[in-house]
Order: sequence, then structure tokens, then C-alpha cells
Amino acid sequence: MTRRTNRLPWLVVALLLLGGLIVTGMWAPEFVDPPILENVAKDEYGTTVGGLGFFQVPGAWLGTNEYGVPLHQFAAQGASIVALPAAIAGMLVMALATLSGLVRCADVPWLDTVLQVFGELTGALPRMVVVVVVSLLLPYDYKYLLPIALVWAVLASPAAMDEAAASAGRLGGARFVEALRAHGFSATRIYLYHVVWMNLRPVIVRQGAEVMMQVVFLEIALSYLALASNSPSFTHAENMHSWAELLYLGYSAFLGREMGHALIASLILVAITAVMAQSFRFAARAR
Amino acid sequence: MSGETLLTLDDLAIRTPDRFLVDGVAATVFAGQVTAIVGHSGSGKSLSARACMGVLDVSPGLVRGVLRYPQIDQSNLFEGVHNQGMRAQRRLMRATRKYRGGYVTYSPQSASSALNPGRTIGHQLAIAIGRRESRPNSVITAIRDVLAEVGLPPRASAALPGELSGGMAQRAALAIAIAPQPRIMIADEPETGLDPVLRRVVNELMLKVAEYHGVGLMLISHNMDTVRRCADHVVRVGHDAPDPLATDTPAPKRREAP
Amino acid sequence: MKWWMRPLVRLLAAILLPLFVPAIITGALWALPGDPASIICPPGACDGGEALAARWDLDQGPLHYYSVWMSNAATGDFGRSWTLMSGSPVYDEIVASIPYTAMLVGLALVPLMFGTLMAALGWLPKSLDYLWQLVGLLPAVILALLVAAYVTITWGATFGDWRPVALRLVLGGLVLGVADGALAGAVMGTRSVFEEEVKQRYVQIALLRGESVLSNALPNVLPAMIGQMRGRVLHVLSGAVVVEVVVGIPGLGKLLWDGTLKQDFGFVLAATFVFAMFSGALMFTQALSEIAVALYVRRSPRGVLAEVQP
Repeated sequence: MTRRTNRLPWLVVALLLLGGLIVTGMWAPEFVDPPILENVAKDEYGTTVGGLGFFQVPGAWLGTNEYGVPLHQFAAQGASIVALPAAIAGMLVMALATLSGLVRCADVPWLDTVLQVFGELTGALPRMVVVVVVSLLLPYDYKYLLPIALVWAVLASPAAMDEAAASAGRLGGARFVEALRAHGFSATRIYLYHVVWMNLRPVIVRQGAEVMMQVVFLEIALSYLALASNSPSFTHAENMHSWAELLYLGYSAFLGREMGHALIASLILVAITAVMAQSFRFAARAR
Repeated sequence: MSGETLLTLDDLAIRTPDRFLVDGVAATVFAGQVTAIVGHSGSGKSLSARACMGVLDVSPGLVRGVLRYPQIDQSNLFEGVHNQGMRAQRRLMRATRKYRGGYVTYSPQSASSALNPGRTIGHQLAIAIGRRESRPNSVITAIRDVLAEVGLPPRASAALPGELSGGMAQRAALAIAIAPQPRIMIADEPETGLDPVLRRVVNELMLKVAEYHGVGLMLISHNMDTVRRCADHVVRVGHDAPDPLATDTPAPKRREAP
Repeated sequence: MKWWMRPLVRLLAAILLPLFVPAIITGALWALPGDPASIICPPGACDGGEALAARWDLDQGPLHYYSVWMSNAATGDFGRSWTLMSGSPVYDEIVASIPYTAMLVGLALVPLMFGTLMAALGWLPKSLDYLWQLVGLLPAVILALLVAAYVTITWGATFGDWRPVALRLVLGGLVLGVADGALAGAVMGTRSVFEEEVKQRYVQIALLRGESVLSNALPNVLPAMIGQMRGRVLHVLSGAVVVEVVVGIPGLGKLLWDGTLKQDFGFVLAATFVFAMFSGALMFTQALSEIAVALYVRRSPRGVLAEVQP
């Protein structure tokens, strides 16, 4: 198998998973089903001890919570919360990294300096501290992941930009462009094809995929922290349920509740996200 | 002192899994004399020279060979390394480290990229001088003397390699090679990248320094003029290595105009 | 970029960060709809809002509040809690929380430093890279959750016993040092920096001069390594917010989170100020190290710091 063929399966997997995430999010219900107390696990005294597991309830293939609400609806709502913001954040990082690489090749020293100073300043504080403060400063009734995801992307961009600039530098920067111009290629073709597509692609796609994954995990972390503190989350409206809620339900399995399936479901979703990011990375490998 | 045997290399054979890189090379270096190693590009000249310093970084590597520094002892430095792979070769590198940079030094080609870009010439000279058998009273004076020998001004000691021209960098590399007062100096294609005038200057400088200090010079070159002019002994590496003494070397082909 | 620009930017950022961060938060607080004093004393829930605003310096605009707060912070007075602890001094809580965060971060740096050292010396085989990457894919929140479950199941709701506290710190530190790509980044980042440098021709030639690889390569990779270390410490500090809340460590991150949830700007300002001070100290250290490396180890800053990687 040639290296080109090797990358194709990964690309298919990555696009399928991303597409699946977005489509699942689009089909998520605005409100989950009301409690159905027949669809719960009970002990011999009739006390609810948890939800029912995978495929135990027709139509609830991920099982139910302690109130009989199907967990796949939580999963779908969680997808709707993260899908678009994560994709946009990833694309923002890719754009900034591309810009940085192109500036290095275009040999615009003042712009290169500005980007490096920008990188220094945005990388100065711990990211989570900035995100938490931004969450605080958002309007109380504006509960969306997108602004937080964009902030995270901006904070993550210095690393991506430095790596892209270093890759462009290793190419030879402006000398590389000049050499190709001497071969008769147009500037557009050189920058877009030779620089970005042929050389920067592995770096920018990997960084974009990593940020996408980080945004999903960030949402899970923020929502979980809110749940653990009995507070509404900053990332979604109260009628929505994040993947963190599956994790939170799954935690109770350690305390004796029959919610292990929720923990497994949340881990599967985390694994799917990680596989998606890694698939993009392998698909964009250098030749 | 002149004419002493400083290094003997016999039947050197080094291979990769696919082929022999060097097969049957033998060389001897005498004090105050020039031994030239000639061969085409890729024939194994530099590899043989590095083997003379105990540096082997090819796997499976050494197959046959005897290396001795007779003025130190008569033991075969390659003992226990033949066909033993990288681990034995790394052991050899560690065992011979005390000779490198002291008894035998190396003057690289394209010196600008061969010197530590983050250290001034003076700093690098100080390290080299530190490897002398007897330390000088004043390192600064010693640095100045070495620089003067190669025709560099004292202020060159404060320069970084990147701030020197190609010729100056080559002189600096030569200075670093002679600073430890070695018995053997291996000069690896010292003319590479230099214009014809500078080539002559660097070559003559090297020969003068080697003669003055009684150093045995192993000169790696594919410049037959230089070899004919300077070498006391010639070692041909590779099956089709040119004969520097041949007088019927064919004239270069004229290229047809497009 | 000129060689002196990056250290200068870092030095300036280090000095300005602790001033800039509270200014941003104060400005944003006033930009939020409503009167800031209403956060402390919601209309309808309490009377005397104007007097309260005057007492808390909230009645003369953001500039006044900021200047008063900063001048008090310089003397260790971080003001009072707005909502969480209803007027209690923030300083005591902040000071009590810092050692926990410091211990957590310190413990997290142990696996990181170990991994960095092993990678620098070339003692970690590349065949293990998949292991670091796999572990690094695990989000800190999940590993922290497992730690919390383990400690809760093992020790339950015990009080006054130092062992669950110590266990939370140790395991929490391990989580921070390993999850979210921390250890993987340390190992692979260090290795790539060293490999890149060792491949350079001058290192190979130095071997032929009898010099060691480390003595030649290390001074040249030091600036990059210091930059990477700063990044890792910031990464660990970032994760500490999550781990402290999930595992239940009463550190600075938990204080910040609790303050955020309750809109307690007293705690938020103080906690972010301390984080900014620490980040500034890291930048300051990095800038000084770069200058020291250039001037002392390399004896000339010219042409060197221009290529320094963060």
C-alpha cells in the first residue's frame, strides 16, 4: 500500500466521526423525554438503585438514568453542544497557524514580530484561568460554548503558530518561495499548494484536530465542575444535557448505584472524540 | 621525531547490511609527513578517517581491521569490535575518546557549519587548548598565539562562527585542530567551498603548521593537484579511485551548446 | 525579530500582567448589565445598596475601584468576599489555598521532570511513545474523577485524617502530570528538541574532537527547554483548576471556581491576581534565563536569541 493510500482510511474515519457528531447534534431533541419510572433499576424493596443498562429498554440503546430518561438523548444533546463550537475553534487555530506559516514565507518581518508578540501575550496565563474568568464575564443568560471555545482557540493558537512558522522556516521561508517563482509558479499556487498544502498541512491539521478535541474535553470539564458544584453550566442552557452529565451519573456507580453503563457511555464518547482527532492527525501526515 | 609512525591502519572493512562501504583500506601516518586519502565521492574516505579516530557509526559496521597508535601502545584498538555491532562500536568510541581532540584532531570541511554556532572562537579554542598534555600558563596568550599561526587577528576570538567568512572559519577550524598540539591531524577536504586563491592559502597554511609542529597530516582530498603537490604518501579508497600520479588523465569533456 | 525583543516583551509582560488582569476584570465587571453593587446586595433582597457601594468603593466607577484595589493589594489586602463568605477578608482564604496548589503543581512536575530528563538523556525508547500518547489522550477530568472515587471509597467522609488529604494531593498531582498530554508533551517535546540539535553537524564534529554531545548541545537547547518548561508549568496550573474541584483539594483553582460560580468578584480578582503574579514570575524567569544564557554561556547575544523558540 502506498503512503497516499494509507492516509485515506484515516481521513474517512475522521470525516465520518466528525460528520456523525454534527448530524447527531442536529438531530438532538430540544428537551429530553420526561421521567419514565418503569425504566429504572429497582432492588427487592422497590427502591430505585439506578438506571437500566445498554439495550435493556427498547429504544434506549445507551440505557437510562435513574428517572428512566434514555441516555442516548443526553449523548445527542451533548453532541449538539460541542460539535459546531469545537469545529469552529479548530478552524480558527488552523487559520491562525496558516497565517503564521505564510507570513514566515512571505518574509514580512514586522508582521512576523507582531504575531510572535501576540503569541507571547496570549500564552502568558494558564488557559483554564482565562476561560473561567471569561465564563464569569459572559452575560448570565448567554449560555453557549462558542465564545469559550473561541477564547480557548485563541489561547491555544501560539503553539500552533510557532510550529507552523518553524515548519515554514525549515522550508527556507522566502528563499523557498523565490526558488519556486524562478520555476515559473504563480505566487498563489506557491503559497496555497506548495507551502500550505504540501508542507504545512500536517502541522495545521494536527493542531486544529487537537484543539477540537480539547474544546470537547473543556466542555466536559466545565460542565462537570458545574454539576459537582450543583450549579448551572456556563456552556449550555439548562434544558440541555452535556456529556459531562453521563460522566457525573457514571460516578455514582462507584458509590453503589447501577449507573456503570453511563460511565462506559461517557468513556466511549470521549474515546470517539480522541479517535476522531487522531484520525485527522494520521490523515494529514507528511508524505 | 620526523618519520615516526604515528598511526597504522590495516585492512579496514566496514559494511552496511547491503554492501561494503570500505573494503581493505590501509594507511600509515608518519610524523611531519602528509598521507593523502583519495577517492571519488562516497568511496569511504571520511568513513575511513573517522575509523582512524575510533568513530564508527554504521551498523553492522566493522568487519575487519587493525588500528594502532604505535607511539602510545601496540594494541589493536579494534580488538573485540569486529562483527559485534553498534554496542561494541560505542564501546570503542568511549575507549578512544581520550585520544580524540588531543593525540589526534580533526579539521572539518565547510567549517562554518562545523563549529558550535553558540560559542565564540575563543571559547572553542580554550576547550581545545585544555586538552593539551601540559596546560599553558596563560590560556589567553595561547589562544592569541594559535590565532596568529593561522593568520587570524586576536579579535577573532570574540567572534561567533556565523560572523566569520568562509575562509576565516576554515582557518578557525584549523586553529582548533592544532590548538591541542596533536600528533596527528586529519584534514577532511579543507578546500571545500573555498575559492581557488583561498584554497591554496588554506592548504599551504596546513602544510606549514603540520611541518612546523611535526604533526602527521592525513589529508582527505579529491583535488589531484593538491595531492600531487603535497602528499608524501597516497592511499586510494574505492575501486575506481583516481591515481594522482597518472599523467594521462583524460581531458574534461566539452559540453555541447544547447 | 531582533534578539532582545523577545526577552524584553517577556519582561514587560511579566511586570504588566498583574496590573493588566485585574484591570480587565474590573472593566468587564462594569461592562456587565446592572450595578456591580447589586451583585453583593441584590435589590429586593437587601437594603442600603448605596451605602454598601460607598463602603466597597463601587460608587465611583471602575478606575477608582481598580486603583483602590491595586493599592490595597500591594499591601496584602485583597478586599472582602462579595457573596461566598459575605464580607470576610479574602486574603486569609487565598493564603490558605496557595500551599495546596503549590504542592499539587510541585507533585505534578515530578513525572514531568522525570520524563524530560529521561528523554533528554535518550533513555526512553521511541517504542513507548504510543503509551505516553495514549495516556495523554485521557482528559484530566476523567482521571481526577477516578481519583476522587478511589479516595472516597477508601476513606469515605473521614475528617481530621491527613492520609486522604495526602492521597488526594499525590494522586491529583500524578493526574496533572500525566493527563491532557502533559507527560507525552514533555517527553516528545524534549526529545525532538535534543534530536534536532544533536543532528546538527557541529555536534557530530564535536564528537570527533573528543567533546561530549551534552556539553555542546545543552547550552544551545537551553532557551527552548526553558520555554517548554514554562509552557508545562502553565499547562499544569491550568489543569489544577479542574483537578482541585473534582478531587476536592482546597487550592487556589477551587477558590477561583467557587468565586466564579457565585459571582464573587472579591475572590475572582484576588485569585486571578495571584495567578497573574505567578505567570509573570515564570515569564520573568524565562526572560532572565535567556539573557543569562546568551551573555554568559554563549558570551554573545547576537544572532542567538533571534532564533530562540518559546
